[in-house]
Amino acid sequence: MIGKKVLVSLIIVGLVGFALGWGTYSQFSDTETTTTVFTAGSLNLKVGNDDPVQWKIELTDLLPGCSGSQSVTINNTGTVNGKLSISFSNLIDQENGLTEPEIVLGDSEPDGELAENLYLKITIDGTTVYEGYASGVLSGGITNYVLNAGASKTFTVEYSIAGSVGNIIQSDVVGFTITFLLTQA
Amino acid sequence: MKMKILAGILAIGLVALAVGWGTYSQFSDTETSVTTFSAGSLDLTINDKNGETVTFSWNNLRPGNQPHYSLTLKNIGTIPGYLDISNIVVVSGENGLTEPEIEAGDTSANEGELDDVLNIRLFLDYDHNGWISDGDKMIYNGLVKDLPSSFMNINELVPANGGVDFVVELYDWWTHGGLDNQAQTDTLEITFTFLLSQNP
Repeated sequence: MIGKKVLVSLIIVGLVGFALGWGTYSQFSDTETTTTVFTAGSLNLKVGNDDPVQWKIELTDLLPGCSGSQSVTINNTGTVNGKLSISFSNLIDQENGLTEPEIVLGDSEPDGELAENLYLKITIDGTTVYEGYASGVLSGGITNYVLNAGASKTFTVEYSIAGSVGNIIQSDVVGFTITFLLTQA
Repeated sequence: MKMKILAGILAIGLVALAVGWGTYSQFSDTETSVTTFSAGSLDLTINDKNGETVTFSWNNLRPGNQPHYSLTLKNIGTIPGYLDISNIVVVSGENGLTEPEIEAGDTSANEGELDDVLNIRLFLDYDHNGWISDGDKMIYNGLVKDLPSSFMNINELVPANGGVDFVVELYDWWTHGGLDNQAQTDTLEITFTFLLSQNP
């Protein structure tokens, strides 16, 4: 019987203890919630008015003594700062048929003579990307040129042919590809 | 044992490559543009002959004759060019002395007199009728012996794929009295060199 009384006492003590414990849980509290959104930035290079680029240089009927220039605006229309690289590839230098005045000079297919007589000065906002004859344009280029988000720069190709260059360049064709690469800074 | 070590190194290498690859995956954008430069051309033909000498000749000329010929000069290039005439060479030969020549007072065995008695007219025949007419451009009109060695200021622009007719006409060979007979059997050779250039 003693055992029963002890058990009841223990239950009572337990219940009191529980009540006390309950009391300590009732504290002041407040909750606020915040939502975190992660959005990736963008890096978008725009050359000229169209994206992808439509701008190209296509000049015909060039003459000894001629000169000129073509420009285009380079934009980082993204939200991330970038580094611009400009490189040149696919240089072609073609005879494109022989005219009689070229033949008289001993000219022959297939290599043209325009590349070694076409002087180029290629710049981006005044910084030289390449200066020299078109025959050496593949050695030109620029890397790590800062182009921050929203920035725009002017890319210019100036060209000239000396007046002393004669019939040897008649109907010759020079071409190359310009690649603009923007990577995150 | 060696095999296992190698495999281990290879595995590490692959992990390193994967890590390296990861660092390359940054934002980037590429734009390419193609650039082409083509030179023009200037190429002159005479009667559709290119780089050849075009020859005209007449025999048995006599006072009263009015021989003339047309040359069609074409620019088969891609840019307009200015036409000039250079290196005009007149060779006047005696070709032996006939009795009437001697009678008329011809004593020069090596110098002909055709250039002294013949007039020559050079013009651009815009109406393509072979004769001088209103609107045609006269280049020279006078005695053959007074022909200059070049005409570098004709100021005639021949467009690309265009052309112009150049006429040589000899005339007025009957007003020189005794001198006319001095020209018997004489020969005359006139050479013209045509030049097309981008600048006047």
